Amino acid sequence: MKKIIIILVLLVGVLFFNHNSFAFDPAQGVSISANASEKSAEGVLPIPDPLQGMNRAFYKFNDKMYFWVLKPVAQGYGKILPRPARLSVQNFFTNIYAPIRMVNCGLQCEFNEASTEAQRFGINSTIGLLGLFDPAKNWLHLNPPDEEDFGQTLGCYKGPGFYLNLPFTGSTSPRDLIGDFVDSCIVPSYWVLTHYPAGFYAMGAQVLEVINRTSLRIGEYEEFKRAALDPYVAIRDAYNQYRENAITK
Amino acid sequence: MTFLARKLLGLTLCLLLVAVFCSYSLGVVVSASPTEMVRKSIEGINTILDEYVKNPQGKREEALNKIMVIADQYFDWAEMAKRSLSRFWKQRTPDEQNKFTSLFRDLVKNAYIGKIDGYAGEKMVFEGENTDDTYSVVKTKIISPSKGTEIPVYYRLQNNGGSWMVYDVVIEGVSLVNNYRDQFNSILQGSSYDELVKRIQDKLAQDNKK
Repeated sequence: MKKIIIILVLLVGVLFFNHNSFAFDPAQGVSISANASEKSAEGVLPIPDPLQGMNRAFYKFNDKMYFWVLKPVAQGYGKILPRPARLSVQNFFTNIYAPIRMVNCGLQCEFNEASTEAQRFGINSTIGLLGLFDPAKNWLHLNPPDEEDFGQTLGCYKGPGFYLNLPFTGSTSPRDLIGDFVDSCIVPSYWVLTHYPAGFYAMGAQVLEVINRTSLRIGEYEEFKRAALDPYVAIRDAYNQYRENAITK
Repeated sequence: MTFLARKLLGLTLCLLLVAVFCSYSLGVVVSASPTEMVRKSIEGINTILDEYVKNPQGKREEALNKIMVIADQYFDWAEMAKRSLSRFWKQRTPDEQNKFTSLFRDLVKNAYIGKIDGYAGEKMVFEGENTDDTYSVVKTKIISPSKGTEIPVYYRLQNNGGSWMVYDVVIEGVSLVNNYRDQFNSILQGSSYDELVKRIQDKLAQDNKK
């Protein structure tokens, strides 16, 4: 279901983009070219943002969703489940996504990393009790390599396209949306998802993952917002820098 | 005769010792490595934070001011402000540049208030440095057992006539200066420098009320 929504939104986004690309905001055009000439050795090119009006509206929506729904729910959840248990839940989700990271390490010709991911997956899924614990790191010093996903694999060939901020999804780009879709085909949850009624459990698992992660990181978004002069631009740039850095690594 | 020889020998040894000691201590002062500079500043800040966490009642302002005293020694605010304004920096008068530098410092200081309360005894490890004559990157990692995360934090330093100063902090690939530059740019392109200054001042005033 979530996938279908994502695809729909992506389609709408693409339609929007095509519609607007001819009536390109002149100020926007200038800003992009002016910034392009400034690219320093250590800087990252700013990401184009032709759908800024829509993105800002969705950003506002996500911001409200965080403060009104996600944060209170995550705080309540955090009161019920002690921190070590939540860390284990986080480990569990990190572990089941190992196939995604492994495949993408391989696609990016990082075979050592792919092998480390495979070993970690094997050890943590068994001795680590379905990934709840991380004996691969704690006992065998098999540290997790940098995380790879299909968006980054695509990033080796293509730029992000343009910036998108979508409801519930947050910061993304056409490239990363395609990447997320391909990655979701690699994890088992996708195959479960397509077979009703197990799909509800898979969706429930995704919701649990988000709540669990948020409960461990309450205060981070607030901190980020406090540091920012324009939180929307700050988050857009942080997303862009973060993704570009992950691709070059 | 032997007495004199012995005395001479003693004197030479003494001088030698003093000379070695001087050159050693001088050497340390002149060429404190970038990693050492970062280590000193972080250790200084962590000492203050540890003290604050033990007894936080009404001491936030005091702790923050102490942290800023340390930050002023190691952070090159003018360089950070200059880089964040990029091509708009040259269009400003020296007086405006000074004012903007102190405004930028206030912005970072204001951002740090959130960090103080979020501090949970995170551990920092050093992972090496890349240094040439003028620039250096010190690589660290913040390990947070309570969140189950390891976040790479890189410090960029510049050699200012023999002493290394931090001009950018890069957290998980996101440069602080570049992030502010993007925000300043988007405001400057839509309006004026005065408007940017006003927005920063308004933001600081509003945050201080909370």
